[in-house]
Amino acid sequence: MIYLYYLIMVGLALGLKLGISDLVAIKTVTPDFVVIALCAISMYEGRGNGTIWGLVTGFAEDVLSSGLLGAHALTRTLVSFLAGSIMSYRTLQSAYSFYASLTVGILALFNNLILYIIVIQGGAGWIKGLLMAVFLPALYTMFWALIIFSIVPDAVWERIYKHETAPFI
Amino acid sequence: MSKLGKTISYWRDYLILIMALTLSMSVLFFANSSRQLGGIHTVTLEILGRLSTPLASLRVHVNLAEENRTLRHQNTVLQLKNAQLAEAYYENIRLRKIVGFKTDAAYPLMAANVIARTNEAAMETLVIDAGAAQNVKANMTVVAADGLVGRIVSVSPSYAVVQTLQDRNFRCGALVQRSRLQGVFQWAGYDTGLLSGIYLTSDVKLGDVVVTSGINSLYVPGLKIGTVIKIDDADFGLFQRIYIRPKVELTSLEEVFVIISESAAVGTGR
Repeated sequence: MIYLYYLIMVGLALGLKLGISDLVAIKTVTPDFVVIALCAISMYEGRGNGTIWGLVTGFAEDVLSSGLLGAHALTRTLVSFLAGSIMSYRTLQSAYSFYASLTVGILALFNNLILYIIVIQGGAGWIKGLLMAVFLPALYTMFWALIIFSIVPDAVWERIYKHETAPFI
Repeated sequence: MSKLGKTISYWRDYLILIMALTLSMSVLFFANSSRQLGGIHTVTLEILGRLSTPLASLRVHVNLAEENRTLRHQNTVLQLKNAQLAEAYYENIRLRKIVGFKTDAAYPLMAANVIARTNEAAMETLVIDAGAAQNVKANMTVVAADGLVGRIVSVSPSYAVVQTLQDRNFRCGALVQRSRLQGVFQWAGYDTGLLSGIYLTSDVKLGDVVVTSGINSLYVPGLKIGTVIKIDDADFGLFQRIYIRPKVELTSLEEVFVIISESAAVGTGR
């Protein structure tokens, strides 16, 4: 049953990112809902299973976004592993939502940086590029993570995870 | 549990990570030129296109009243301009005849709606609802009323992906319309592009219009790219750094035109 919740979370995140993220874009800066979903999954599942979810989701994203195949698979894998290593599902609860969002922001920054290095084949204005493609999207993702983690009541996370303590950490 | 089992169990997470990284890097380095994976892209583009179409029409309806007002105003301005241009057009024909110039070929245009937009970590693409069924091919030029938008990089039967000029890997031959100086246009980030390869002593002024040069043969010549907003001529050796503000506003783009040319290469351009 929990995998169904994960599938819904990932599906929703991919749908939001690929379908309507430009509606909430500030200039060219858009939030990365997939990082938020993968962090939420890895927090509970731990880094091992989280890594598998990251790989599969990243590959699906590569195929759906018509971009470079394997780029998202690589970054999502690393982000999920790190999220599973440094966060526990308790950080999702409202009292810790800021810390959870901060971690999501840092992981989004890491994700964007790797993607930027893979995708860019030289070019002008790399400082501006880093700002617009790496730092600001990570900050905006952190903002959205804070909203999502604050709005979703603790009861919903409890219902999704159904356990008092996470199996990992 | 055997010793091997315990060891595997202990290192399980790291083994999964190593296998996942190996798999994703193999796909990244070896699979991007594969024809079969190109097929997967085509199928998913088709599915994604069908899912995005209702969202695209929703976007159009949100701004309809404001857009109508703007278009009415633009229409009046353009009517007046059109009258002037018609005069200039006939004068141009007459003068060309006098000096023996050949007439430029007209480019057939295919109208298409923008149904999705991806912008992340420097990848800037649009999905449009015109594909192979409408004779759209990879590397065809995409324009809007204000000028160059980009080029087709991937095509499915009913949809196509456009690499826009705001993509960090976009390059095109460009020239300053007034002084005919040629350089290479690329995206510099945020809201400006960069025209490189223009010497320090060359004649470029703020407000100069930059158009495609047609030199790299991917883009037809004379398509408006943008205007010069900043010239940086210090500390960069032999060349100026010329910053361009594009004419096309990609964030509000709803309709584009594909220039249907037979010379466009088949296959993915990315």
